Amino acid sequence: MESKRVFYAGVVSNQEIAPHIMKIVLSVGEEAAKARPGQFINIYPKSERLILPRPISICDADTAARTLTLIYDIVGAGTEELSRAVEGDRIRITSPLGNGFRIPDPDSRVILTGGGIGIAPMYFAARYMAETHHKVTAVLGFRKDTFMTKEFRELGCRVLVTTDKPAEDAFLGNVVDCMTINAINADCYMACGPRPMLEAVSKYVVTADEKADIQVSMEERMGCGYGACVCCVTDVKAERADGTESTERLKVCKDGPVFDGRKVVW
Amino acid sequence: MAKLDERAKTLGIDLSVNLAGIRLSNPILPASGTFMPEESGQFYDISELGAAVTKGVAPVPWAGNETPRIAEVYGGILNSVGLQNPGVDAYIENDMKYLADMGMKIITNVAGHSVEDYVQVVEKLADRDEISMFEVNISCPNVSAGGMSFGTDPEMAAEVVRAVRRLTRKPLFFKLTPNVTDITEIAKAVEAEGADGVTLINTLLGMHIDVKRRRATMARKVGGMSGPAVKPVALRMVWQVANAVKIPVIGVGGISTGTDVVEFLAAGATAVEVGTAALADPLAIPRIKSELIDYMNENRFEKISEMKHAFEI
Repeated sequence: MESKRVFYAGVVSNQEIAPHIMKIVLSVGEEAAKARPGQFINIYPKSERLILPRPISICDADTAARTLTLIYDIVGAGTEELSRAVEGDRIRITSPLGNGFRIPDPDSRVILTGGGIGIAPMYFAARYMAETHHKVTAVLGFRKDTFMTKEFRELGCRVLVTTDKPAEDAFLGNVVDCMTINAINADCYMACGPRPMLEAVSKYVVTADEKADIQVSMEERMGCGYGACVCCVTDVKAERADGTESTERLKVCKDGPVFDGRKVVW
Repeated sequence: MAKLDERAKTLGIDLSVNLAGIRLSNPILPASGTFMPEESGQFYDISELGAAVTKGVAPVPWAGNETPRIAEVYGGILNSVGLQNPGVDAYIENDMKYLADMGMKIITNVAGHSVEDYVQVVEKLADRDEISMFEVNISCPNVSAGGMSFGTDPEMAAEVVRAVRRLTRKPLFFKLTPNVTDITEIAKAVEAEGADGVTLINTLLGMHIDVKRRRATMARKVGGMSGPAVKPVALRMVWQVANAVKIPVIGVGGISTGTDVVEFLAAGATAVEVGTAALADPLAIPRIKSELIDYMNENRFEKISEMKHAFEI
């Protein structure tokens, strides 16, 4: 019955990799082997002022080192507190939560699209598929400062970088413009980022290819982060028993965060 | 027997309580809307609960409010879920069956936009042996029709009690709102119509504004506040109501520790519900129960019922 744990992880390192963007490595024991791309963990802040957990997606898992890597943006009091953690600190977290990406067959061509901090789970997906020799293209969108692009290249991915403001070696514009101009197509698309980006990517895929799979990792303001409070919901198309279409209001934390981009009601 | 009940037993402590004629293994319950059988059960053995209190069940599926539905505030949270639920038929097939198969005592929370809604749900569930009692929510601040409006007027509250009382012999509890001038008036009104008990308090209506985005944080602008900061208000109201009525009181509001439970029992509650604490920490309920056992052990209490009389309040 009890399949998930709340426990203390040890901080291995915690450093800034771009302005306001931090990378933390946590020692988590056997939980590392359970993590799948697209899953997240809840981090329980130390401050009593901060009541709710901070859900943060998993950027990588190292089974041998028994660690999880997270990349997070300092956006509020919770992530600010987390940014002050140093090596040797203990942080209270959960086991990996939520449903991750479905990994396609190794002969599939895959496009990973990440927007801003949404790049973090896409790295885990890319690393996972690098091991199985998938053909992966990563389209990474940033406002201005880029991060993790080198790490994606080191996995052997084709990497396209886009920025909102002019930057070196980057396409000026958004990820969908970049995909359109490069006439990108694949059998399977996976995306994580702001909702408007996920909507645009889903529509791009729907127009480009009737059969292509599009999986989007959604973000929504969460309460408990484990499915009890029903605060983080999104509408998804469903089918009634008689074949007619209906919508279901699903929990992002428990039923997602990864959903079929064709079924999300944008 | 659940592990913590066993630990209490070896210490010579009996945690069981009699709630309106129903024997519960211990007085700790989850607050409606903060507990889901499978999801909560991923983290702890839910048979540690005195009973399962379900999410509000309406006659038909309710979609609830738009998102964001939650905000963190000093000392607590605001929520405006709006009683999203799959309706009574899906409840019977899923959560009720799941809990019954686990051998759990079930307190079904009932939601409604109208008297007729409450009647339909109770009518459908009245003969279900799986259900031990009902907790009728006449106090939700997050729905526009019905909900809290029934709980702010003694006559309207009485009308709901009258309508559902004739449908069942099972104990009927009514969950009351703190957003009133005198909560004892409402408690007395439901007692007079045959309520078996009252649960209090539901959330306090509140608001939060996002100064960066320059808008209300919640989609619905306002929401119900819960969490540690509301505990003194809840405790005061439980104490007032327990002294004003003869029916049992379930105390709820900001309980986060074992000694918080002791305070509510001392104020006159027969059982308690834990809500926000379980969202803030999935393991809060077993921890609170364990702390309650520690307190009883250190202070030489053998029974929960002894506590009511051991305090001079």
